[in-house]
Formats: sequence, C-alpha cells, structure tokens
Amino acid sequence: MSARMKKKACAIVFSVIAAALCCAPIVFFYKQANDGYPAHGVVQYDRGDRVALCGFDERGETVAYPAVTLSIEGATMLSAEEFMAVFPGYMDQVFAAGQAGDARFIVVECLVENDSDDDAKTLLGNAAIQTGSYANGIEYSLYQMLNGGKSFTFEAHSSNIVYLTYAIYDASFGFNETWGSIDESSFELVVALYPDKEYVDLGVLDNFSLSEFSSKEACAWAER
Amino acid sequence: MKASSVSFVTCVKFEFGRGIASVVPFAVALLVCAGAAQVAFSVEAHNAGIDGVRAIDAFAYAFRGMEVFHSESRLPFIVDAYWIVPRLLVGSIACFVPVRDLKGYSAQVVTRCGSRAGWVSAKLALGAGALVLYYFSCAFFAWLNACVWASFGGVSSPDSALLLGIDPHATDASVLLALGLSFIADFSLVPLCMALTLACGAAASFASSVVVLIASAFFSTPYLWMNATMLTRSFLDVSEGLPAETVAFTCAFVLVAGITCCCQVGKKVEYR
Amino acid sequence: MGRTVRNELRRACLNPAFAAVLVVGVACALANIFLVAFPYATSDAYSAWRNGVKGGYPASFHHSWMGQTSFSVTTVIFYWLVPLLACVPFAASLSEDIFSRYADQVIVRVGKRRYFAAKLIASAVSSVLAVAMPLTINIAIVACLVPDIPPEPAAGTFYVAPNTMLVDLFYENPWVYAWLFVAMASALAALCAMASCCVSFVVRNRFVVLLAPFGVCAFLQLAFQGTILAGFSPLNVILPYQPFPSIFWVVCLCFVLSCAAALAFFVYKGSHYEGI
Repeated sequence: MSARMKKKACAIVFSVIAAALCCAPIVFFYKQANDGYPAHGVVQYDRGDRVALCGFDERGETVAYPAVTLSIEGATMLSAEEFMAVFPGYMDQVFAAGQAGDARFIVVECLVENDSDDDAKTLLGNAAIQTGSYANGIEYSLYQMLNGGKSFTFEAHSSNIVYLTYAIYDASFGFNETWGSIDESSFELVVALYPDKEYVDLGVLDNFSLSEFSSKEACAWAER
Repeated sequence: MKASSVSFVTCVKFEFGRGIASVVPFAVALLVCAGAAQVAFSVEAHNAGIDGVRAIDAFAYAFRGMEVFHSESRLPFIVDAYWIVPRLLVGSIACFVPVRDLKGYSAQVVTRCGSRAGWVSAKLALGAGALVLYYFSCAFFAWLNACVWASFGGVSSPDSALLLGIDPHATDASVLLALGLSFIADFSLVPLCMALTLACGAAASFASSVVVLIASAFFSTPYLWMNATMLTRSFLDVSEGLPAETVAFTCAFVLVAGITCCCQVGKKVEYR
Repeated sequence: MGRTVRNELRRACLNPAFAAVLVVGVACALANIFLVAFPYATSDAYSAWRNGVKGGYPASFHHSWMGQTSFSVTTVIFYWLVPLLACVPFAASLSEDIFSRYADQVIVRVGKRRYFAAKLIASAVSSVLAVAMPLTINIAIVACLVPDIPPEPAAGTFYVAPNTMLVDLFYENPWVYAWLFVAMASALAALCAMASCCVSFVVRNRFVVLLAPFGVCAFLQLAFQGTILAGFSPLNVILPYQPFPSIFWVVCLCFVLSCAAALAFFVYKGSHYEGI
C-alpha cells in the first residue's frame, strides 16, 4: 500500500470514528428524552362502541371516568344550502364575512351515559372531527343551538343525547384537492389525544334523518 | 475664505454629484416600494368597504410599521415586507455607498480635498438624500392615491385611519408629528450604518441591520432604539404607545452617536 | 479537475467569512434551543406531561425545532438571513478573482471549464454547509431534549395547516418532512450562490454581488405579500411551518427553471470569458 493510500485509509477510519463519537451521545440522549414520556398508543373504536370519557380534576390533571361513556348513534354531513334550509335562522359568521366560498356542517349524534354516582365534568367539548390532515373543534354557536345550551357536565345516573357540531370550509384547504372529495371522505371523531389517541371511526358520513329533530329545533331557534 | 473650507464644500458637492448615479437603482427601488405600498393600501381599503382615502392616512400607511407582537400568544411572527424592505434599501445605500470607491479613487479625492471629513460628509448626504427622496415619494403617491379615490367619487373617509390600526380620533397634526419622528428615526440610522460599514465591512453591517430590524419588530420595547422606526402605529396606539419624548430623545442620541462614530471611523480608514 | 475543486473548496471553507457565517447560524440555532426547547425539557410545568396525567398534547420535537417555531425571533432572523448566509462565505470570490486577474492565472494552468466548474461547486458547497449545519445542529440537540411524539392534526398545536403543501407528509412521516425542508433551504442557498456567481461576470462591486440574491428574495417577498402568491416567495417556501399555502410541484418547477437559467448564463459567460 502506498503512503498516499495509507493516508487516505487513515483519514477514512478517523472520519468514521469521529462520526460515531458524535452520533453516540445524540442517540443516547434521544432515547433518554423519549423514555421519559409514556408511549403514545392509538385506540380505534367503531360506531356503537362505548368509549370512556375523561375529565379534569381540581389540580388540572386528567382523570378517567370509566363509568361515563359515549357511543355514536349517527353522523351526517350537510352542505351549506341544506343546512340553511333546515335552520334558516342561523347565520354562519365565516360566510357572512366572505371568508369562505363553500362549507359543510357535520352533526354527530352521541349517546352519553353517566352510570356513576357523581356528576361528571367531561372533556367532551374538546372532541375534534378529523379527516386526513384536517381537524377541527366543535362549532360552539351551532352546538348551543342544537343542544339548547347544555354543557359538557353530565349528571349522575343520566342518559343524554348530545349533538356534536362541526363546520368545515373550503378556504381551509388552500390549493390542496381534498375539498373536491370531501363528501366521500372518511371521518374520525377524536375523543382523546394523550397519552393514547382514542378515536371513533365514523367512516363516510351518511345522512340520518334530521326532519323530526330539525323542525322542533328550528322552531325553537326561530322563536328566540 | 480658508482654502480648507473651500475644499470641503467642493469635495462634498463633487462626491454628491458623482455618487448619485450609483444610488439611482436603489432610489428607483424605493419609488417602486412607495407606489406598491399605495396600491396595497387601496386594495385593502376597497376590500374593507371604505368609501374614500385621506392623503394623510395613505401617507401613514407607508410607515405603519407592525403591530406589537406578543410572543406568549405563540402566533406566527410574520415580518411585514412593506415595512422592512424600504428600510433595507436605505440600509443598502448606507452600506454600499461608503465602500464603493474605498480603494483607489477615494484616496485621490481625499488627497485633493485635503480633508477626509468632506468625503465622509458627502457619503452621509447621499444616504440622507435617498431617505428624503423616499419620504417625498411616499407623500406624492399618497396625495395621488387620494386624488384617484376622489376622481372615482370616493369621499375622504376617517375610516381609513381604522384600517391602519391607529386611534381614529388622532388629529392630522399628531399623525404628522409621528411621521416626522419616524423620519428622524430613519435618518438616525444612516450614519450608524455607515460607521459600522467603515469599521466592519458592508456585508457585516448589512447583516447586522437585518438582524436588528427584525429584533426591533419582535421586542416591542422603546429601549431597543430601532423600534422607533415603527413609530406611526406605536405612537398613535392608545394602549401600547411610545411617548414622543422617548422617541425624540432616542433618535437624537442615535443620530449624534452615529455621526460621531462615522467621522471618527472615517478618519482611521485606509483609503489606499 | 479534482485538484482544482479541492483548492477552491479549501478557499471556500477555510476562510474567516465562512467561519463568521457559521457562528451567526449556530448562534441562531443555539439561541432557539435556549428559548424554546430547553424550557420544554426542564420546566416543572411539563412534568405532568411526563407523568402522562396532563391533558392536551405535550411539546413534541416536531414543533420545537428551529424550523417550526414560528413565534421565535431566532427562526425569523435565520430564515431571512439564508440568502446572505449563503453568499457571504465565497460567492463574491469569482468577482474578486476576475477583477484581480487571479482567474486568468488559474485558467492558464487548468483551463476555463475546470476553473469555473470548480468555482461553482465550491460556492454551492459552502453555501449549503452555511445553511444546513446550523439547522442540523438544532435538530440534533432538540431531538435530545424534547420527545419525538408524532404530530396530530387534532392537537391544534402544530403550525402546518391543511392548506399548506406536503401537509400529509408532515403528519405521516414528520422526520422526512423536516429533512426535506432542510434540503429545500440548502437548495435555495445553493441557488443564491449560483446567482451571485452569475452576477460576478457583470458587476465588480463585491457588495452588490453578495446582496443581489437577497435583494431579489426581499423584493419577491414584497411583491407577493397579501396576494395568493405569498406562499411562493422564496423566503416563505423554505419555512417548514409554511405561513402561506403553496403547491409543491410549482415550487420545484420554479426552482429547476431558476437553476437551469442561472447555469445556462454561467456556462455561456464562462465559455465566452476572454479575460486573457
């Protein structure tokens, strides 16, 4: 082996050793940083499954309510025209401000049962609707309208029908083509995120009949 | 009249005239910025449904700066290009002009003038001249903008002040005072930038001015003197404004310090 | 050719300007860590997340490294300085070589093609290193401080919105997303260095040669601000948190066309160089 080749070989060996010495502490501290947090799991539920809800205690930490469960009775998605036809008194603020050209309104009918002896202040208000990379929280003005101002605290030994309401606007997708196939998209209702992500797979949203519900609620809303 | 003072004036006049050609591209860019700002203001006013635009508000638009940024909100911090680009252009002139002929020609000028102060003063005058040009072009385009609105039947509207985010009850005199202080603040940058260029080189000086400009927009404190360039909004913002005295004092201090540094560093620079 | 490239690389990477630029970039990276990631890792407020008892979503690496902290002044300063950091180390050397006649001395010995190719390669490499190294250092240290919890759209704490490009990639493969944007910033840096080399043939002033790419980026930022094209400004395209929407294939096409135009100009001017 010539002197030049030996020099090159030495340089390569030293480079490899230096790279290993640099990477070893990074790998060590990376593992240490991640081991300090609980593993992030994903739990999927289907429609009809009973999902235990969580709440906050007075210290601000989450607490599980195994006796307080949610199950999906139905989920539907209405276009802006369909929604305005059912609820003519409702004025969407985003539309009114001209910030969106088109919208979809999602209504998820949930059965929340509290089988415990105490009232449960749940985190159901943080439930989000998700499709692909898009997620959105509850539209509170719509929620108030459809649920008569009910809160997310459920009394002991009660069974409640709750309508979770969401609005999706085309302006949220920019140049992406997701909006074009939004009616055929599969949705999830994300109930909890940490330490495990818990969600209910709603699938493609089909219509459930709003006629009986809507005429009663629409009259109540119109009379306000 | 002493020979040295004649040389000083001649040197300044000659260098100023000679330097104008090199500053022309930057000056054109400043004019384009001023015009673009007015177009943007018209579009924003039209979208907001405002009937007319007052010339003084259109003028203030070019200097509206940025809103006070609250980092604890965790919202994205986006630097307004209409604010920073004209300032970078003035900074470019301040960084470019002193070093343009630093080796070679400048030695001949200094030798003939018998005074380095004349050479430095001419450079300062070029920077200040570009700034004056920018402010006058902003005022001209603002007046033109208001006339265009009027010619389309638009009624001059105080709602345009709301568009700027400034106190709608602010008088025209207070707006002009704010703009005057903004001019002094920008004017005080020029000699400091030049001093830094003569000391560290144009690239370092320009990079420093970019960093300080962005930091001044981020940290809304009057003790960071560059914040004075966001004067119009901060001065007229009822809740989080800067007192005029603070700004005036800061600008005067920076202006005097900048000119002093520029002259001192200019004396020590090797012109060969 | 190899020796010429090695010489130019040595000139590019072993000069005070390159060191100064690295210092500035690494200072931004370290300041970002000190202001954002370090408090996450050490603050008592985050111990509840470490115990798994706090609701919401904890700080994740994928919104704590420098490219994703849109609320941090260090991030904005670094990304605005990218065109300058890319050009300051070595981009003006061609202009200096040409006007000091050093280029003629080298061309006589190695030929035009080798000299200009080596110059272009060295400028591009130094610019890429000046931008990629601070980002890599930041990523490595933040990954050691903040856990690698996968991003979730429903968390609402990640800045990559559904209207931005490559949003699906971010939520499915966030590490690939992060390194892709480091590559994009490096590509812009290389393009800026290339543009400076092209300007070197026509302009003598070193300051103008260094500033030309930054000036173009700043003007595009001004021209596109407030329009639907805001996301296509070079300074916005390289931001991983993407404050404005854009289209990936359009960005790639613009980049390829710009590189091709710069390269064509450089080759034309280089082949017609008649300094000697």
